[in-house]
Amino acid sequence: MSESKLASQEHKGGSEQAKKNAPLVAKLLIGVVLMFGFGYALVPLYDILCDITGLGGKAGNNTQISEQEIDSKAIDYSRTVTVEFVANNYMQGRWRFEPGEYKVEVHPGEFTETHFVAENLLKTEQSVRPSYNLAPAESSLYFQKIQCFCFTEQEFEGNEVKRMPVIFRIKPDLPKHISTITLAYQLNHLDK
Amino acid sequence: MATVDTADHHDNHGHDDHHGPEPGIMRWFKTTNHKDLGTLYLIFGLTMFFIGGAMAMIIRLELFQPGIQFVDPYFFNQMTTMHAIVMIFGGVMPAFTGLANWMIPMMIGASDMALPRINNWGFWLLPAAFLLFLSTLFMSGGGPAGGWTLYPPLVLQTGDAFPFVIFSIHMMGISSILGAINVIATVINLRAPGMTLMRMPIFVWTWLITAFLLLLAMPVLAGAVTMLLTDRFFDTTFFSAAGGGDPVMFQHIFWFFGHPEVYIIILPAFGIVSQIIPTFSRKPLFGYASMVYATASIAFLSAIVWAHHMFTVGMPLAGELYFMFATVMIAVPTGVKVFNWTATMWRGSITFEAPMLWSIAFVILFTCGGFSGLMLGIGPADFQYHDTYFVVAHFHYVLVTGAVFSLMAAGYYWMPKWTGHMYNEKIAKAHFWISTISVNVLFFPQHFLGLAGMPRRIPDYNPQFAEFNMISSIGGFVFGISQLLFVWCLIKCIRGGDKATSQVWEGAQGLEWELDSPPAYHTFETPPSEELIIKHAPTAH
Repeated sequence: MSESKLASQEHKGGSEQAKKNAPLVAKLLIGVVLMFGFGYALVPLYDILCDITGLGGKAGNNTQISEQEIDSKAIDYSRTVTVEFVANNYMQGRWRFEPGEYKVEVHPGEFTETHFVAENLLKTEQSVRPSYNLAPAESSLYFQKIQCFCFTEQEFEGNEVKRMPVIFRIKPDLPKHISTITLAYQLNHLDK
Repeated sequence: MATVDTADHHDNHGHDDHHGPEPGIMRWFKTTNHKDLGTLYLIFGLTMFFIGGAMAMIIRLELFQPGIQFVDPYFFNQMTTMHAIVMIFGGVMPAFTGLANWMIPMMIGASDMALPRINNWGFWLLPAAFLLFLSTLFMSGGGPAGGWTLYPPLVLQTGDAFPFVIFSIHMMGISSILGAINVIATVINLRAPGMTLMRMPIFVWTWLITAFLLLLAMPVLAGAVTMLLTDRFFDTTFFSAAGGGDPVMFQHIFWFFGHPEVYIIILPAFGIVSQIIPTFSRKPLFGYASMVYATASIAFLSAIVWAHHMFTVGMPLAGELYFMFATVMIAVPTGVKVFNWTATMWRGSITFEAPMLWSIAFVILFTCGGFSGLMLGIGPADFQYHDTYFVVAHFHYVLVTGAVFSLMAAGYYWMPKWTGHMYNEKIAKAHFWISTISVNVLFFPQHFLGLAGMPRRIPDYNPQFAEFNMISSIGGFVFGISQLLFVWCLIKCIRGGDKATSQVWEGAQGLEWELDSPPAYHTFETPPSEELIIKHAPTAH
């Protein structure tokens, strides 16, 4: 059947048709491969998009601060912004996780230190990677974390309690309509 | 199965053009003939329609009354998940590919599809994929139960079935991609001389655009499920927050595939009813060119609106607004289509044979589904409807009374052409009326359930939802059983019946109606004349 099909194709000038098909099919297959790659490329593309636009509240990890920025004159004492802290723990029974203070009032430009407390409720070692999110998302472009326990994996001995510091600063050019920022953390269990 | 009976040809073994099908069962495994493969695809689609339908019956049986009656909740979850994948990838998509195989070469005056052997491979991947997929039901841990959207981290908890599910989805994807490449190569390279793009039947146009959407979307799905696979077995952390990944990212990637996918399922349906309505209105299709442009616009818009499926994940306002406006914009080209169909019928000499009835029901009920889609597209309102039965009602209106109704219309419309016999109009009409009434009894109350807050994908519910669920289940059972009438019609038609003329329908336009009913095993070995093409062109009269 397939041989006779081939024969019949050749009979009616099939080789000419095959010549036309091959480049088209090659182009379409390249398109398929590119789209497969595009699926993977979406992973970094979404991250880049979020960093640039602040969408998703994931920016704000900026530790690079110029000397000019640290200049105390940059502190805007005329404004007060409320920063709220949230600790999300979906592993009740394994962990205790809460903010050291629930909210602070800060002036844009000044450095503020706060802390979170985590306790390993098991007798065995556990480790976690914290993840974070800022609301409103727009504020993440103006939120700088100078030191944060979320930068690294956190390892805990059995029953260990840790006081984990966060040092942050809000850029003075924070848009006027933002008066409250919520910083939320979540502990994500790491399988070792 | 022998829908194409050209037995008197098959003694002719001269390796020439006019040999018939190979005798015996091997014909179906080795065939590269577009008509044979079209038949295989259609029968496969119909089979999967009944397997997926049986799963739906289990779902409606369990939901007949509140409480856990018949199946355990975990099995119920497997049913909802598998019902969706079987219906979408096994039922509707192969059925459309079957129609493309059968009709496109005959509509554009080509002798076969451009890549006949790829065509054979593309089809035979499907039974393998679905055998594997369905076999996961019997594996330890059961089949996939996390919903057809495969959201992590839930889907990563699937038992032994997980890698088999992923592999079968890969095979389904490869099959779709091969089918799409074949359609594009056929339409671009094999049109008869004189068959310009704007002389093509609208069904060919919609399929060409669908094929490009398939190439855009299916590889992204393959990538997404591959990431799931490596997350589970190879220590990557694409979707695990503990490793720096993000589970919401999966939703973005999945719906980048998923939204074009819903138009992959509906664009060929638009093509089908755009063929049928002019036939039975005895008028040319109103606004042929605008239909083509509307289809292309819908395809483009479908690729940039994906996040309206995930309004509630915590997107920023700017994202919500963008996806809301882009989504609602799809109503414009879709509206163009609905008005064109209406204008085609306007002052036509309409007769109501079965294909026309299914098509009119399609226009009305698909539009209902479109309206509930608009409601869901409105970001702030979606927070109430999200993950409720309102969503279930919405997508069943567009998929069942949309895609499936168009397939039934196509089945009755071209059945006389395929088999050479007229179907039994009385049974076909009974099938139509029972289906149309019962499908509304089945899905319409689900709107109310959803608005009242009944969540989807649950085996048990608050007793306040009992009455509507019972009504819905009764509609479901009637709808399910009534589909057997189609099988009966089909079998009767294959076995015999009144001889169909080559024209079949008085008002039918298109090259396929120049061919005998049933057409010879090989048709248009010599391309049709340009005169004939112009006579049948949708814009020419």
